[in-house]
Amino acid sequence: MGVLLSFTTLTSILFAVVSIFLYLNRRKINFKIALQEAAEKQKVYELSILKQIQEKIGYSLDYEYIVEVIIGNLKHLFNYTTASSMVIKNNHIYFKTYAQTPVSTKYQEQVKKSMLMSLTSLVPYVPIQIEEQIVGSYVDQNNNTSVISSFNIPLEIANHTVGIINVSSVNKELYDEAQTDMLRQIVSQASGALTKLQDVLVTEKGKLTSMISSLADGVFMVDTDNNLLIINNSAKQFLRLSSKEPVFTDIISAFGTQYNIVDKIKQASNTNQQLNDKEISLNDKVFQMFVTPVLDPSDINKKRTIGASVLMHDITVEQNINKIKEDFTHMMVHELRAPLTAIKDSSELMIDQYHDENGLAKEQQEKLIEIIDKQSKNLLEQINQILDAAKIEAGKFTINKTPSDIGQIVQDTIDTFLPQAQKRQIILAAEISQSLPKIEVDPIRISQVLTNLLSNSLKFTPPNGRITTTAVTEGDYVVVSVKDTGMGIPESEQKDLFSKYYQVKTTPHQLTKKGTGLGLFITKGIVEAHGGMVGINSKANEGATIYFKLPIKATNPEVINEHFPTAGANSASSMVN
Amino acid sequence: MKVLLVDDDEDLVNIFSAALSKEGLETAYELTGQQGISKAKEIHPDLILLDQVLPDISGNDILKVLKADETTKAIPVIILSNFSQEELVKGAIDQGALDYLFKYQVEPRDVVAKVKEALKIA
Repeated sequence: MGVLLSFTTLTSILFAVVSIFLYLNRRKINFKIALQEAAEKQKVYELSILKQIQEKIGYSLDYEYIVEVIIGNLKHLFNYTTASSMVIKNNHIYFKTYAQTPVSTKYQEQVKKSMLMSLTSLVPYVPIQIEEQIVGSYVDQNNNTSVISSFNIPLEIANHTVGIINVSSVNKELYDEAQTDMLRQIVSQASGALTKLQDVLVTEKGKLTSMISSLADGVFMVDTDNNLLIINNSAKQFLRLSSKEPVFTDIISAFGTQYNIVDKIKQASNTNQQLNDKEISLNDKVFQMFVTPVLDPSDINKKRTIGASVLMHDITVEQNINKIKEDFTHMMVHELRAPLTAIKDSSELMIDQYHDENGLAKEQQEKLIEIIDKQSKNLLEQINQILDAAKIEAGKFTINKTPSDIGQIVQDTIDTFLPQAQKRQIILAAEISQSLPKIEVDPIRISQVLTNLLSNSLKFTPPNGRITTTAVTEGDYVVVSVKDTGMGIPESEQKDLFSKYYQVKTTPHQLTKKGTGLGLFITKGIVEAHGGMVGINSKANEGATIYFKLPIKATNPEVINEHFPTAGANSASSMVN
Repeated sequence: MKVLLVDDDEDLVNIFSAALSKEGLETAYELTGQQGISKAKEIHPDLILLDQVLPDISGNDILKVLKADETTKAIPVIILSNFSQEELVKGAIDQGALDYLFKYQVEPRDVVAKVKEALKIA
């Protein structure tokens, strides 16, 4: 029995020992598990904070907001009485405290002082203005709390301290190294992300800025507080802004009364729609203006505007071309209408003559018939000019080359102008070299060229003037030039002289001397079809010399009909065999 | 009744002259301003049709000379103007021109009507 008892006792003891051992062991395991769980939980919190930071900051560079996100999540990680942020922004310090329980003014001052000291040691300049805010619990005057434990962590972006985060407690909390390190890590991750984002933004802004600066259109952008964010060189030029770093008020005064830019930006922002204003005249130019509201990308509803961009598209040239085309049509209509009207009026008077007792004198009748004859020829010539010009433009202009005596062509053409010149008391002189070679040209067309040049000179040379036509050999070319003592052609107009829409700007007294204005355009077309070139030497009020050069050796003597693509193209290379 | 035409567009002058002659009006013409002034002083016409754009002197300056001269200041002057020269027309009326015509927009019969109206003949 005794043996049995002792065995039972022994078994019980043994069982108890094993149980205790097992219990202890299990406790140890449970403790380990608990520790692991705590660590895991911590990790999860850390991750969730980082995720939140990442989600909430999005593409924002507003570190005040980022600090808020970090602080708002701290309670999951620490026990604390207050979590505070102090950031520098717009030359202000923003100090914000999140209190879990009421604290004293002294407590808040202690936190502020500690943070300010940290900040002062980290940044070269600390703004004087401090904006304070307390969130959560309140400051209790009667409460006698003071900071017992506390630590500061700086927030750095691209190696610059932009703020401080502070965690403080009225209790002796164990803010050990592991805990402060964890917050340091979170903050450093956030600042790392911010730094990267800022780098990206700087690079992207750089790309955008260089793109904007290279634009021919004027571009500038303002925010809602009327700060000028960006302006390109074209805009500066258009607005004639001399300051290297202009401000929005400079732009407002540059627009003056021509364009109320402030109102337009307001209008675009309020309606959330792009404004398009055509034909705004400014500083001798005409612009099409686009004012576009810039929407906040972080605003999901895409309704909040954060500024406006303004684009100035220079339409001066288009406007001028339109005007030139309009003038050209107007002029053509007038030029065709005038001879037709004269023909119509003269023939009507002649018809009346048969029915009317009060007849016209014979001399008057002759004059009317002469008018009909002259004006119908004039009309025909003008229509031919229009057709020639159209053929030149379409590349369908043809010439018929034959070996010709260029000196004879020149002399014959001059002779046709003698009566007209005599009537206007203008001397027509000819200096034709006796040793001119025979060259392959279309004699009718070359005569037409000289006719155009001579009739132009006659139009613009006053009575008692002189027009000298010269024909000489110069290297591989025969050069024919017509020099007059007329009003000359200003240098600014010379480059357009041979263009289709060019007309010498006449004074009101010379209005009646207008022609279709196509003469010189056709001249160039004909000369270039021969593989030659036209040119001018002139100064305003000093007369003009217009010349054309024809190659002595034709590019291909076998070819008699030649087509060339466009009058404007380099003729020598565009000759088609 | 004598009408003097001063205009450098010879065709236009001939047509208008013919139209006026058919109405039994005597006509004379000059192609420059200077000659126009001399002719006016010489023949004392009953009316002058004056172009505003002449090669030597502007029509408005001729008008000034005519209106300043005792012998010619009473002669009514009708201005022959080109289109789009309203400013010049206004200047001419201010200087005492009786009326104006846009010469490339009128028929000879309009000129005759205007002249007859000015001369108060039916």
